[in-house]
Order: sequence, then C-alpha cells, then structure tokens
Amino acid sequence: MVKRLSIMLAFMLLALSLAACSSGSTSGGSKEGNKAGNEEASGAAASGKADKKVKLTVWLWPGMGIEEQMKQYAAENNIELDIQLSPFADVHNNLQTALAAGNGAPDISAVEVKVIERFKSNPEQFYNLLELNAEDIESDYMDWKWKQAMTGDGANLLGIPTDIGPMAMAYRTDVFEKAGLPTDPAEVTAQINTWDAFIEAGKQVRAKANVGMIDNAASLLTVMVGQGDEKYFKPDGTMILKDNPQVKKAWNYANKAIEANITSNVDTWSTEWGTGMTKGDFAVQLAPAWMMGFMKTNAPDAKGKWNIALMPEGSGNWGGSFLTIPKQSKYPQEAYNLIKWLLSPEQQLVTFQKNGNFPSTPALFETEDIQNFKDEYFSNAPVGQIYSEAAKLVKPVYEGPDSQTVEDTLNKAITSVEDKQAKPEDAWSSAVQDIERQLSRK
Amino acid sequence: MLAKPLNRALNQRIRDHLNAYLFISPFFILFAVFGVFPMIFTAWVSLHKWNIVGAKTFIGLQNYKFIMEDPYFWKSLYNTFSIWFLSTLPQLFFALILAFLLNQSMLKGREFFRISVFLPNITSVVAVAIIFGALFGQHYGLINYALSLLGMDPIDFRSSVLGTHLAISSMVMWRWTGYNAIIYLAGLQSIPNDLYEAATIDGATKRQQFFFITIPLLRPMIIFTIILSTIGGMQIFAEPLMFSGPGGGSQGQGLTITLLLYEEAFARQAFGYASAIAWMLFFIIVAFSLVNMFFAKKLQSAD
Repeated sequence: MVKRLSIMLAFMLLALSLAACSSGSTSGGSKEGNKAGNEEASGAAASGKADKKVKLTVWLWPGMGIEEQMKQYAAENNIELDIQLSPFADVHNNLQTALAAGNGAPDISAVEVKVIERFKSNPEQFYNLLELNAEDIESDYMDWKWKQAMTGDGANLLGIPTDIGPMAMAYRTDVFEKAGLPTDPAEVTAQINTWDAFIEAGKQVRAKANVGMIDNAASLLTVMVGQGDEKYFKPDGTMILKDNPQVKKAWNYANKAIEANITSNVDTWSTEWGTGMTKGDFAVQLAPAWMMGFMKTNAPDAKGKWNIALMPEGSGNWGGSFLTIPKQSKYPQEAYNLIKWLLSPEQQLVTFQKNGNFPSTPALFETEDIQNFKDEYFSNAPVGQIYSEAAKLVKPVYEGPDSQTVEDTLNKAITSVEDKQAKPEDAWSSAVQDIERQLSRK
Repeated sequence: MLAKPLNRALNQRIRDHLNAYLFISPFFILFAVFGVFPMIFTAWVSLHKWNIVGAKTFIGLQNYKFIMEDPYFWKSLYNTFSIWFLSTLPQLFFALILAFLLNQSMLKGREFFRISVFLPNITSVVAVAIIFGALFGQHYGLINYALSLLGMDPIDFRSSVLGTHLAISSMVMWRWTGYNAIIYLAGLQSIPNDLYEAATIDGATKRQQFFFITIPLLRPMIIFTIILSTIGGMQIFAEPLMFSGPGGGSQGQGLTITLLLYEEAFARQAFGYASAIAWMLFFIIVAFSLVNMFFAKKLQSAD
C-alpha cells in the first residue's frame, strides 16, 4: 500500500513537473526576449566600440499597424530592430512575467489602457518618461489620453499614447431599410439620438426584419457605462459602483433591451459574431475606431452593407494603447526617440490612413486628410469626420486598477439575464456581492 | 585490530552508494528544479498576497480561508466533477465496446481501424474545442441545424449549465475514447483464447463471454484507465476555456478548477490565491487517488 502510494505520488509529481515544463514552453515569446536581453547586455558591455549597432526589441500585437514605420525609422537611424508580434493577451502576460522575473522584457512594449491601469501600481518597472522630457510633447496629445498612462500623483508617466478608441455606431443599411428606418448617417443620427429612441428603433427592427438590434446586452451595458463622467471607482480608490447613476442607467437600459427582445444573444468575438456580422443578424455594432479593421477582417463579404453614424447620447472611449519602455531596457533614450517619432502627429496620420487606428493627437482632427477620409467598406461614409467628431465628445473617465474585474462581473451578470438564467434584480445584487468579495481580497 | 578493515569496508560501501547516487542524480536534479522547487515555491506563494510584479505581503492562511468561502471555488469543483462524471463513464464504456469490436478476428482492415480510433487523441485540443464550439453554436451550429430539420427548437448549449457540461464532456469523450480503447485492446489480447473456446464449448453466448470472462480479466486495465481519466479530468482546462470563454460563461457554468486558477492568476493578478487553489487541487487529486486505490484493492482481492 505504502509503496503503491509512493509510486502514485512520484507519478503525480512527474505529471506536475511535465505540466510545468509545457507551460514554460508556451511562453516562448518571453524566452526569445530573454535571449535578446542577454545579447543586449553583452552588447552594452561592448559598447566601447562605436560601430556597435543599438538593438531594440519591440513587443506588439497584430493589427497595430505600426511595424512598417518602425522599420523605416530603424533603417534611417542605424538601429537594429527586433519586432516580436504575439497575440494581445500574450503580450501583456509575457511582459508581466518578464517584469516579475527581472529579465527578458523588451526595450519597447505596447500596453493596452486597462492593463496600464494595473502597471501604474508598480511604476518602478518602467522608465519614467517625464525624466526623458516627455512633457515637451504633451501638448500634442489629447489630455485625458495622456493622463491615462500617468500615475495618480502625476509623478510618473509610463507610456506615450498610440491610438484612441472613440465610439460611433455602425449599422446595416439593408436591415434598417427593411425595418423602415432611415439609412442616411445624418438622418440616423437625428432619429436615434437617445437610448430610448435606440430601443424603439430596435423594436421596429425586430418586428419588420426579425433580427436583433445589437449583438448582446453586455455590449450595450459596457458602452453606456463608458458614457458617464465616472465609472466604478473614484481616483482615491473608493468604489462607486452602486451610487453611480450612469451605471444604474446603463444596467436599466441593458435590461430594457433584453425585455424588448432586441438583443441577438451573440457573444462578442465569437465565431457566430463574425457570421452574424456578415449576414446582418444584428443591425448595429457599437464600434470604436479600431473596430473598423476587425469588422473588415471578420466580415469581408458585408462590404458596402455597413454605414457609420454617431452614437446616441455622446461618444465614449473603448481601448487604445500606449508604448512603454520597461526598466530593463539598456537603451531608454534610443527607444524613447523612436516612440516620439512614431507617435508624432505626422506618423499617426500615416497609421490611420493605412490601418484605421484613430490618432490621439487632436491637431490632426481638423486636417483635410482626416476630414475627407472615406471608407468603401462603410458605404463610403466619412469615417474620418465621424470619428473626429466622436473623439471630441469623449469625456475623460477614471478607470482604476480593478476596473476590468468589475466590468467582467457585470457583463456576466447581464448575460445571465439575457440567457434567461437569472432575474435582473438577483443578477445585480449577486454581481455587486461578488465584486465586493473579490475586492476585499485585494 | 578489527576496527580498521571495518572502517575501510564502510568507506568502500559509502563510495559505492555515492556512485549509485551520482548515476541516478540527473533525474533527481531535474526533478528538484522542475518538480519539487515549483511545488514548494507555490506553497510559499500561497501564503502571500502577490500581484507578481510588486512585492509579496505575508497573509498566512488567509488565501485558504478565502477559498473555503469562495462560491466560485465550489462552483468550479462541482463543474469539474460533473464534467468528469459525464465524460468518463460513457467514455470508458464505449472504449470497452470499441476494443471488443476491434479484437474480433472477423474484422477486416483491423490496423486501419486501430489507427483511426487513436487519431482523435493526437489532434490539437484547441482545434477540437473550436470545431466542437462551432458544432454546438446556438445560431449556426450543426447540432441545432439537425434539430431544426427534425422540427425542434434550437438549444442554447452555451448558456445552460447542463448544455455546457455536455458539450465539454463530448470533446473529452471524442479525444479519449480511442486512447482508452487501445489500452483495453492490449488487455483483451492478453486474455488467453482457450478461455473463450472452453466457454463456447460449454454453450456460453458471446454476451455471457463478454461479461463473465472479458470484463473480470480486464479489471486491472479498467482501474488504470479510471485513475488516469480521474487525474486528467480534474485538470481539464483548454476545453472549457475555449468553449465558455475565460470567465467560464455568464454563470460560471464552464468554470473548472484549473480555469479558475488561471483566471485568478492571469486575469485578476492574484498569484497567491491562485497558488492556494493549485494546492487545493493537489489535495483533491491525492484524496481521489486514494479512494480509487482503495476500490482498486477491493476489486483485485475479490478474485
């Protein structure tokens, strides 16, 4: 018996150790980063030689659309560049692991806005860009966006803004026509100017075209919460989830949408979402600027069937990223010079024209390049003009390090209502309870 | 007088032992680095509050106390066992039948079928999960399409607890039935043919032969597969992650223990808490293996 037990234990330990090995190999990206880091260290040791090229490692995720410009800069400035692309979540996880290990972080890493909120509690892991004179270029960027990468006391700046995600409303012209709704962007904006009107239009869509107005209730909830002056936390850390009237309003409207049966119950980012986008299973997609690129790749066949108008009751911001310089970098000044050039208004315009990522530099908004920018996929809508309009309507909102946890829990709660698995009141109270419990552990 | 040779002999023995230990040391060194150290470190981390990037704060057994009160943990425990139960029992049953069929001498092209039943096991689990996710889709899923041909309403597998568990179990079954069938097949082939011949002469039917000769003699194999699928089932991760998404669905219907562990570590940055969950999982698997072994012993001594 004892022998068997020990054999069993040995096997289990072996299995565990194998599991440990395999999980190690999945983070191959960071291992490569390690290697690069070591090479760099030796490079720095030999930096006495003047002809030694500076080598910068860069972590990005696909779809950021800035690789080409980076390469161009590197070629012009005699810099060796190693751009490593990995999926969105992996970039953040690998960066976190590399920072914790104290080794293997790149010279430049892209970080999304929700994640930079978390990293702000450990600013010592990144170069303080204020020390590299980043305040010289502060006036180029939207104020609220700039502050998102700044610690609460204003002493540390972790990243320089890439794109922003102002919200607009993409809609299917064919479905709207069937439902007897206007199809011209200006008329759509005029008619669907409040969320009540949105729900009314949704009922019409359901009655006459028999499809949903929006993919799911959680999208509506998240977007509406983002329209307020505050979200879930005050800058001092107190949770205002239960007292924030905007959250309450968003929750109520999401429930109204479910009651009116105008949601399609399709999860965002699922395969069926892509199919629904192609076929028109939901009439509206609430879309930040970067969503345009996703829609084109997800539903290429729907080209010309979508159009874009302003969203009811103002805009909002969804996502957008920053470029940061982890403290492990040996070449902060070179990295900063590259970032400064790449995210200057001139280069952000190039990125927008190529990839649709909306610039974070307001000086561009009124230029002809943006105002006259039209997109074939969206029925030749003046997307440049619409999104710059939307960007001006964005109000700065404080997120807080636990914003994602709260948002995930609320989304799950509203989805359980949409799935008819819970009553709205129960879902709300258990979500609040859940959030409070989660945060008590922090 | 006697002390010296004894001492030398002792020295020689110690040296021999040392040699032996040197020879087996590669395994133990690797095991210490990749097995023992992570386990002990995990135990150490589980006593802390740690977001991995910042400093650790010692909080004693708070994490374990929190697990006891954490409804997610209990939900994930229930889900894990429910999925394990739904997948393992039918899986082993079908595997047995498959193995029995594959072992029939009248079967033509046996090699081909043997390879075919094993093939699902070497496919990528993520690919399997994506395909099955599409099969079980609410709007464009193949299963709901078939139901609609029969005039039935589509089922939203993803949103209900049972539907999610069934879908995930079906992925597990698809991947592992063939694997277990091959193990059973090996067992079947070690059963001497004269037992069957004798039974046939005594007038036993095929069915009687199956239940009174095959199953009892396969017992060690069956126990082995049950233990393996228990350990595997406790650690189920990729299938629920792909099917229900990172949070395990709107009511956590697809949240398994390992998925919760992953969520706590990589979505909520609670590495201390995640480590505590890892240790709870370890204890659960140990407990289950002990129960399994107890029954296995009972079964074996029943002969």
